[in-house]
Amino acid sequence: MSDVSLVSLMRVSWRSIWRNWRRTMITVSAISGGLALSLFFLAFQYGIHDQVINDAVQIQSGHITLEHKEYRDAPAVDLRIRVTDKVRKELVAMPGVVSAKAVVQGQGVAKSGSGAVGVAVMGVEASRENGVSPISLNLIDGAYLADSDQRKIVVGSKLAEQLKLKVGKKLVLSSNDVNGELVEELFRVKGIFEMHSPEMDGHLIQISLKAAQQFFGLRLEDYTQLGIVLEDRREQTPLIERLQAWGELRQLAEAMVILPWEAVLADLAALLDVDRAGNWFMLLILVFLSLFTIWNTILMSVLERTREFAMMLALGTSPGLIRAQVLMESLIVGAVSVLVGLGLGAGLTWGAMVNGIDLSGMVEEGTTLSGFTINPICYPKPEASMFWVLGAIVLTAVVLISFFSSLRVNRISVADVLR
Amino acid sequence: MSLVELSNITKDYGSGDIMVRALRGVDLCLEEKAFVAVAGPSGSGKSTLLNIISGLDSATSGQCTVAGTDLNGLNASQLSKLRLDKIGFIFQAYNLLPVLTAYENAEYVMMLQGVSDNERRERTMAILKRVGLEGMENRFPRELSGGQQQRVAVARAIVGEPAIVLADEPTANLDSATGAALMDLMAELNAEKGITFIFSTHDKDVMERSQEVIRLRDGLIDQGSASRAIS
Repeated sequence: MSDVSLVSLMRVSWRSIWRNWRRTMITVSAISGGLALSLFFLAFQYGIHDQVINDAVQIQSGHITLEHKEYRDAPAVDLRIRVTDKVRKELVAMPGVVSAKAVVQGQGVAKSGSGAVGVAVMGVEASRENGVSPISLNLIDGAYLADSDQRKIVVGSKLAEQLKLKVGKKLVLSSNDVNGELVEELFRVKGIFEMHSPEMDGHLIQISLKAAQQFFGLRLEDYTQLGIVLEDRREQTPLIERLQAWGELRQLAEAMVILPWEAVLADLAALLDVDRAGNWFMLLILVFLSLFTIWNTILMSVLERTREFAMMLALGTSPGLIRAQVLMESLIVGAVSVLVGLGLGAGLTWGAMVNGIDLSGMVEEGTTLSGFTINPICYPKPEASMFWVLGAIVLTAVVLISFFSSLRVNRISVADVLR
Repeated sequence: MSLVELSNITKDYGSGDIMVRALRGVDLCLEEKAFVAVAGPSGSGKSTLLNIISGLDSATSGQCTVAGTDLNGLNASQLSKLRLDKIGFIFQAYNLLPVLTAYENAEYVMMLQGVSDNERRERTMAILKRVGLEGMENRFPRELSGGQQQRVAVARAIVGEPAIVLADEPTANLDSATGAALMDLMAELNAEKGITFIFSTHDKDVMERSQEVIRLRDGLIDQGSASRAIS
């Protein structure tokens, strides 16, 4: 196609678009509105997922977990790793790493005068957790742990209710140490948290790391997990690759594995994957339905110009040039719609990011995802890929629809139409 | 050599019991610079004859040669090229592109022909002046009267320098004065540029202004209707 005919094509296309401006505006509104909402809902869902993942990795063992290779199969404190302070400092100094938190996790039984309950015992570095970890931020009574606390414990509200515990009351924790010997310790309740998660509120207790190491018979640099918390979880894979190649870490323990949070919190990861796939599927259905409407409008704009196209064919215009005109019209309308839709979607998302969306009226307090509580104030989390993937899907679909509609030009019988 | 040569042309529509024979063996020979009207009652085959000459429709049988080219052997793309280079069209309903101005409509065919920008501008301005539309170049069809629109259509038909202009009822939508002025214009262009004009018409004025009238009846040329029509 020569430059002259390309300019002419664009001119005819542009003016044809505005010939029926109402239809054009409806088409642009349908595409851009659908795209903006899709983008917003996707960012919204990612925001909820992000919040749950962040809470989960803060409570558990980070975005990346270093642990004994057999720990996943049979979680027990004897399947421990040893990480020196020097290595921990070097880990924290790596770009993108926020902290390297040591954790000791074991199983036990909490007993009071009112009964006994099986619990997950978690020894944490209290100074690192305080003010950061969701548990430290969701205390309903008392205070959070300190590093120096040897006989203090924080418990969930359900457990406190079941064992009739209050701040300052005592409970006995019993378990097996690294040698398999039965151990028992008396702890005093320092704080009671409420995560609105039956699993956490009813079966999780936290004590200081040193208290846990002492309770389970571990040495000072022995942990069941070392969790690395990242600024941006997208840095997870590159850092895992880097750690796997890091000689110093490999020398520490042959039995150590480096796991992404998805392997440690496999149930949560699977649930989020299913939720994400379901949401994409719903969005694609939404896009498909709106594109079906758009197909009707494009087809109508072709059919109502049958006589005009027949005249152009009679004058010697090639069918390809007319098809190109129809494609150009759709491309312009599609591109404008996508830009408007992405702009609208970005505006909506930005507004919600600044103010948050309070879903407490719709989401029951304590709603959890795989045991982790969903915060009723949700903040969308847009990603660049959402913009270009959704934009590309819509633009490609519009062009394809237009292409198939334009094939109608080949079926025009000029003599019959002009008769 | 004749510009248009039809030999034993037949055209059937439909099939079986509902088959209609629009042309029943038409022989016709038209020389260059002709100014001819094809007349006849509705359904006599006027439009079909013009469609076959222009390659918009194909004959069921027979041979049609235009400007030395046998249309039977051409594919759609070759027919399109032949129309672009050799044939201009004027339609009863003007059929201008509504989104283009008078100037742009007039230059449209040259754009398809790949005529350079400067030459296109010169020829378009000249032809619009020639058809009496100077100063109206930037008007859209909706801003022009019927007669003015048909003048743009004439400009579009001849600006590409075709050998033949096929005009299907060109004056049917115009009042008699405007129709007469249009016929004057086309007669002048025929004389000046040597372009052959073939009209299909019911209009007696058009027939009177034509050099010859070919009368069609039931798909056949009426014997003796025109000196150069052979049947």
